[in-house]
Amino acid sequence: MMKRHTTKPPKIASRILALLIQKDVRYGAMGDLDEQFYWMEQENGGFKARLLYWRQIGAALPYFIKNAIIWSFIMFKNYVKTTFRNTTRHKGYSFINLAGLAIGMACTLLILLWVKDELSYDRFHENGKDIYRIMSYGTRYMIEGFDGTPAPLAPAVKEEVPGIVNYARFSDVPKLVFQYGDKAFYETRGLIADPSIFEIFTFPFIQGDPKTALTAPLDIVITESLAAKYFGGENPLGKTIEIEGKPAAVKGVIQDIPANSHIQFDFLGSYEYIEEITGYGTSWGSFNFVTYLQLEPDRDIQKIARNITAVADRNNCPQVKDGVEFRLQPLSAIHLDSRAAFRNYGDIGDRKYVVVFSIIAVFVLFIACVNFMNLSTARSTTRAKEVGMRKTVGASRKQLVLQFYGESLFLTTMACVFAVILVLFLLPTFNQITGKQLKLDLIDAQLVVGLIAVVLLTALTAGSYPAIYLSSFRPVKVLKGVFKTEGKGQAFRRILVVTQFSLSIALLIGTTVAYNQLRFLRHAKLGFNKENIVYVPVKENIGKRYDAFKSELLSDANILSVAAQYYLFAEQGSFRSTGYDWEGREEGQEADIILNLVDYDFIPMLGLELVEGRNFSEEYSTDASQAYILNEEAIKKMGIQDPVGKRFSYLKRKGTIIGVLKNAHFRSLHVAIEPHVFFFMEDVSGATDYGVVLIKINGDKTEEALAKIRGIWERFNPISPFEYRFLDQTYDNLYRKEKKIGTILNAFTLFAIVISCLGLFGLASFLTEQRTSEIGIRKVLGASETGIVFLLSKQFTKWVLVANLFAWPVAYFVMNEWLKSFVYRINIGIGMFLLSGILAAGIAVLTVSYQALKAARANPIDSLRYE
Amino acid sequence: MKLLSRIEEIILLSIWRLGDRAYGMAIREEVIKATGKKWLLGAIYGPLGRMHKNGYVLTVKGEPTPERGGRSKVYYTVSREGIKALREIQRVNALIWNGAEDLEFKE
Repeated sequence: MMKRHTTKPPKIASRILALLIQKDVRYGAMGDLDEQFYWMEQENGGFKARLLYWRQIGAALPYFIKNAIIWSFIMFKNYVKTTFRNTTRHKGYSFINLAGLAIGMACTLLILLWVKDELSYDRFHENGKDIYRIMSYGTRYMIEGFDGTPAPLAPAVKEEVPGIVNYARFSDVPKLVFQYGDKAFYETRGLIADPSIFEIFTFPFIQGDPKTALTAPLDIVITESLAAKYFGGENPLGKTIEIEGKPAAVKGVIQDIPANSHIQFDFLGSYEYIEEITGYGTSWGSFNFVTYLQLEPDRDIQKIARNITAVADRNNCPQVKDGVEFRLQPLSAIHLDSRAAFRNYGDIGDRKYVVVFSIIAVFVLFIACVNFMNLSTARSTTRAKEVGMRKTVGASRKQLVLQFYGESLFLTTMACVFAVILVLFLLPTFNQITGKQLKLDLIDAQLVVGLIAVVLLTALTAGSYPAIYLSSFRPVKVLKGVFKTEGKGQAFRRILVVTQFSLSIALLIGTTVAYNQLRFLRHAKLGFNKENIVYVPVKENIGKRYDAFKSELLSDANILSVAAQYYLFAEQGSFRSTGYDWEGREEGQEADIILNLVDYDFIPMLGLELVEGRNFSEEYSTDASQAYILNEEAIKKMGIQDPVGKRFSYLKRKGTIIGVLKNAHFRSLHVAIEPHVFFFMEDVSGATDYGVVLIKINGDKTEEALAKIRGIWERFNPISPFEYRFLDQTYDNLYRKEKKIGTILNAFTLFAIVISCLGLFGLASFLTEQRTSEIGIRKVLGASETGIVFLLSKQFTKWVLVANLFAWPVAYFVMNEWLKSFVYRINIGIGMFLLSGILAAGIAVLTVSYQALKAARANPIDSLRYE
Repeated sequence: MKLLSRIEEIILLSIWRLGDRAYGMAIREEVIKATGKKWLLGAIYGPLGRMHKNGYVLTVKGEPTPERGGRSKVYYTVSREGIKALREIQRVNALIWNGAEDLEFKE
C-alpha cells in the first residue's frame, strides 16, 4: 500500500523545474526532488521542505540559461539567414509589409505622443492631488457647469469650512498696453491672482520673493520670456513697467509656464488691484473669479462642496438662492473635462477626443497588422516547402511557431526604426497642426517602454496567424507538391480584407461627417454680417476722443461706417448679469442676461434685423440714457407681452424697451442662442478694457482702408501700437479646436486608406501572379482584356462593398454621438455614406485593376511557356 | 574531444564510485562529501543532462516508490565514452600538476 502524504511539493515550482531540467534526465530528477522533499518534510516540517524545493529553481537556472543561449544561438543564425533571404528575395512584398507597418506604427506613435501630452496636463504641481477648482452648477443657467465663482466665496469658506488649507482666486485681464522705455506692446496673456497662488501651485521663481511679490496693488510678476522681451539683458527686478499709463513694479520673475498647464499667463497682477484693472464686481452676485482650493489630504470632497454651497447660501448669494450649487473638480481633470463656455486660460482639451484618437491609433495599427497577416498567408505556398523541410529534418511545431514570431518581430523592429524616422520627419508638421510642442525623446524611459510594447504587440498580432497557420502544414502533403492554398486560408484573407476596409470606410465616413459639420459651423448664417469688418481696441485716447476718431475715419471714402461696442460678441468673456426689472415681472423672478453697450451705428452696421420697434436714434434725446433693445430670446425668457414701450430697467438705469432684435448667433455655435440686452454706450472712455471700435470697410479697397485707419490711429495714440482684427476671422477662430481635430482626423484617415491599399495591392499582385496560367488559357480561348480585368477586379471589389455593410452602422452610431455635442448640427445624410463607400471602392478598384491590367495585357505565350 | 568541466568531472567520478547505487540523491551527497560545499539537488541536473546528451552517462530505471511520487528511481552509470572522458581529464590533470606536488607559498 502506498503511504499518503499530507503535503505535496509546490505545483508551480515543480512545473518550472520541469521546464528547466533537460528532457533526458527530467524523469529521474523529478523523482529525486520529490524524495528529498518528503524526507525533508518529515525531518524539518512542510515549510522548510517547500522552501528548499523552491530554492532548487535558483540552483537549476544558471546552467539552463547557459545551455539555452548556446543552443538557440546556433539555430538563430539559420533563422536570421532564412528571414534575410525571404526579405530580399521578395522585395516588393517586403516593401509593402515594411512600409505598411512603418506608416501604421508612425501614426500610432504620433497619436500616442498626442494622447500622452493631453493626459500630462497639470501634473507638475507638487500639491497637485490636493488642488480642486470650484465649479458652479445651476438648474436653469450654468447647467453644464461654469468656472466662475463670486470673489468673497473663497475667504469665507477657508474661514468656515474645515479641511481647506488654502485658496487662490484668478480673474482674467483685458488686453493691456505695456510700455518700458521705447518698447510698447499689447499683452493679452495676463491674470490677476491672490499671492497664495505660489503656495498652492508650483510656478518656480527665478528672481524675487514669492511671499511679498503680489502684495501691493501695482505689483506684477512676469515670466522669463516677458522679462527678456522688455528688459533684454537688464535685471528686471524692481523695474517699472507702464501699464496703460500706470506704473507697475516688477516684483518677481518666474519660469515660463509649461505648455501642459491649463493656467497660462505671461504676467500676474495683484488681487489688490482688481477693481481698477478689470472693473469687475466683487460682490456675492458676480461670478467673475475662478477659485482653486488646496484641501487637506483625503478629505470628503462631496461634503466640503456641500459646505461651500451652504456658506454662500448663508451670505445670501443670489445665484445660490436661485438653485446654483458648488462642486469641486480635481486639478488633473480640468484640462480634459472643461466646456467651451468656460473661461479657461489655456486651450482646453476634450476627453472624448483622447478616447477616439486612441481607438484610431489601435485601428490604424491593426490595419497595418492585417497587411502583414494577409501577405504572409497569401505567400504561404512559397513558404510551405520550407516548413515541410524543416519538419522533416526534425523541427518541432514550437520551433516553427517561434521562428515565424521571430520573423515578424524582426520585420516589426525594422518597421519601428523606419516609423521613428518617419515620426521625426513628420513631427514639425504635426506640431503645427495640433499647436503642441511634442518631442520624440528617445532617451525617455516611458517612451522606450511604450515603443517596445508597440513593437511586441504588433509582432504578436501580425505574426500570430502566419505562425499558427504555417506551422500547421503537414510535411507529407506540402513536399509531395499537391499543396494548394486551402479554402480556409482564402476565407481568412477575405475576412481580413473586409475588416480592413470596414475600418477604413468607417474612418472615411467619420472624416466626411466631421468635415461637413465643420463647414456648417463656419459657414452657417449667423443672422448678421461679419464680412469686411475690422476692429481695434478702445485704447489710450480713442475713448476720450471717440467722436473725433469716428468722424476722421468716416471722412475716408473706403470706410463705410464706424460703431463702438463694449464686449465683443465673439470673445470668450461676456458681461453677464442679473438685476433687471421689467413691467409685469413676478415677485422674485430673476433673469440672467448678457449686457451689450453699443452706439447708434452698431445695429445697422451688422445688419441686425429688428422684428419690432426701432434702433437707437439721435433724434430721440432720451435714447442715450433710457432706451433698451432686447433680443427675442430675452423677451421669451422674461415672458414680456407686446414688449415695445414697456418699462425696463437695469439696476438704477430706468427706461423703456424701444425695439426687439431677431435672434442671431452672436457667440459660437457650441452654445444655444442666449438672451441679450442692448443699451447705448454714453461714455466710450469707460470702455478701455473690453471695448472695441468696429469699422466697416470697402471690401475691394482693404489695403487702402487699413492704411488710412493706421494713420489716424497713430495720430490719436502716440504710445499704443496699431493692432486690428477681422471680425469674420475671429468667428472662424472659435472653431479652431474642431479645425485641428478635423485636420488630424483627415491625415490619419488618409494613412489608414494608404495602408489598406498597399495591402490590397500586394494581395492582388500575388493572387494575380498565381492565376497567370489561368489568364493565359483564357486569353488563348478568346477572352477579351476587359473581361479579364473585370474578372480579376470583381472579387476584391465585392469584398470592399461588403465592408460597407459593417462600416455604415458603426460610423453612423459613433458620428451621431459626436454630433450630439453640438447644439447646432447637420443631419447625417445617406449621401455621405454613399460617397465614402464609392470612394473606397473606387480606390480599391484602381489599386487592383493596375495588377489586373498588367496580367490581362501579358502575352499568353509568356504565361503558358512553363506549364 | 571537449574537456569535461570541473563539476562534470566531479559528478561523473561520483557516479563511477557509487557503482550501482548512483541515483540523484546519492550523487549529491557524494559531491558534497568531495567538495565540502552544500550543493543543491537542482544544480546537479544541468551538468548531468548535458553529459547524458553527450553520451557519457546511461540511465537504468528502478522500482517505483511512494516517496518519489510514484516514480521509479533512475540510476546512472558511466558509459564507455564517459570513461574515455574521465581518462582524458585525468591525463590533463596529471600533466598540469606534474612537478607541483608539494606546492607551497614561498616568501
